[in-house]
Amino acid sequence: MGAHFLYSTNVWMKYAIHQKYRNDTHYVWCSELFDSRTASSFSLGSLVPASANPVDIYRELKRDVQSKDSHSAKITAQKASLSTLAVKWAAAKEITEEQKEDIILMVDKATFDEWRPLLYVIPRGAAIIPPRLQTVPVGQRAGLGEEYIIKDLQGTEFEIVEF
Amino acid sequence: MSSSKTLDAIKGLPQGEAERRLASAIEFLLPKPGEEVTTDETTSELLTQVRQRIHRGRKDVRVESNKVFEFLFNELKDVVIDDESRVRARLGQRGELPLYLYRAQFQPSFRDAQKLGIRRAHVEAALARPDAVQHVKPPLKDPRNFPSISLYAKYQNGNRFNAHALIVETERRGDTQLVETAWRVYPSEVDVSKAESPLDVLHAFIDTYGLEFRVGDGEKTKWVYYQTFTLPPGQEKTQVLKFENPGLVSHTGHAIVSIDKTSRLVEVALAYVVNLSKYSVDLKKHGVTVEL
Repeated sequence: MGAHFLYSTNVWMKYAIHQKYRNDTHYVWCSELFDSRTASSFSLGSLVPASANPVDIYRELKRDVQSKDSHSAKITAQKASLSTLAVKWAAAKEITEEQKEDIILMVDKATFDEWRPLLYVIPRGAAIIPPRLQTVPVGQRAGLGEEYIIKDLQGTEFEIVEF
Repeated sequence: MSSSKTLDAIKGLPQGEAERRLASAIEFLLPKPGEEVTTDETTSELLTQVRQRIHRGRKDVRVESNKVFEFLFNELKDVVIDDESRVRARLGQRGELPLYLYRAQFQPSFRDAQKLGIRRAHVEAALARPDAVQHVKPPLKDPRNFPSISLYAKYQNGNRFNAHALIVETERRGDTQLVETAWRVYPSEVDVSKAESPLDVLHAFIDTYGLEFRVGDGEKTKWVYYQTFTLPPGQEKTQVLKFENPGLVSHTGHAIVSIDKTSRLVEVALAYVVNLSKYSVDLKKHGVTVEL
């Protein structure tokens, strides 16, 4: 039996954009453990490396935001990722050209506070099962530990924690 | 798309194609769980040009990929947004710009606030670093032409007796905040115990210091918030707010309105009249110099 909860770290800006422009439907990459280091060293969960471990992602983002690190690799990658999504959504006519411009300017001008990390805690209820819950193939994971994707997580299906 | 700074790989391409190629290059570099990572010649060529531009050869791979992302993001932004001021104005009007991007423009009405001891610097500090900000939206399905207003709150501690909230009222026009007025609200004088937002604090302030007035031929009231009135025939727009002052109380009326000259429709975002005689007595109790 799987864990009762799934955990995913995302930045506030990504959350806000999905809430506003994707009808509160979120694309998340998640894991069964908040901190893979707390798992038994014999379990697969312990093999989730820092780059995919929710608590490590959270701490790295929080450190970058608090220190206002303008060279933050995580924040720069998020900017690039979100602007790319805006271009793809507009090309697919899922948002307007104006909304694409709005997203890219918001991302460009965002304050550090808007890049702060949020921890999504996702109760693994009856609706969070395959095929919605997809296992990431081993070759595309950061490590051997289980990682999952939910492409259509609704805003009502998770809680947000900041610490 | 023909700037000398533009990468050769996207130079002269239609905007949509340039966007697609830049987005593909970013996507190629991002981890993409669950999908096959594919690239084509155009992506490879584009990434090669990007790396040449940012002087490949650094030992720190993390910094290198960070610079590639940054470069690609800036290219994409330049391709997508040809007029940043237009997008800024649109976001600003909706109250969705980061606070630091709004420009403050003090309106003539702000002189009244200065006479009550509020300096521009106090307001600028509140706009730059508010404790709370509320971009008020009309509680209506169709906001029509109602002016957009913002309320900023900045708490000033001082000693316990003089602690207060500075409430700054602005009208949003694109990425400009027109500073209309500001009020010091002392919890020792105004019951703010039920206030949950800057608008609630201002409303509580008016409950304490407001005077009754009418808009057009409407009922007497102390507070008008997003309401529509029709200006009766023969009435000038200077007569929109009517205030009777039998006791010759010192006062100031304040309203953010728009008037349609053809339909004579008056759309009031916010209107109130403050009893300055009463307010200035309380300000003086707190050591504020008042010039009335």
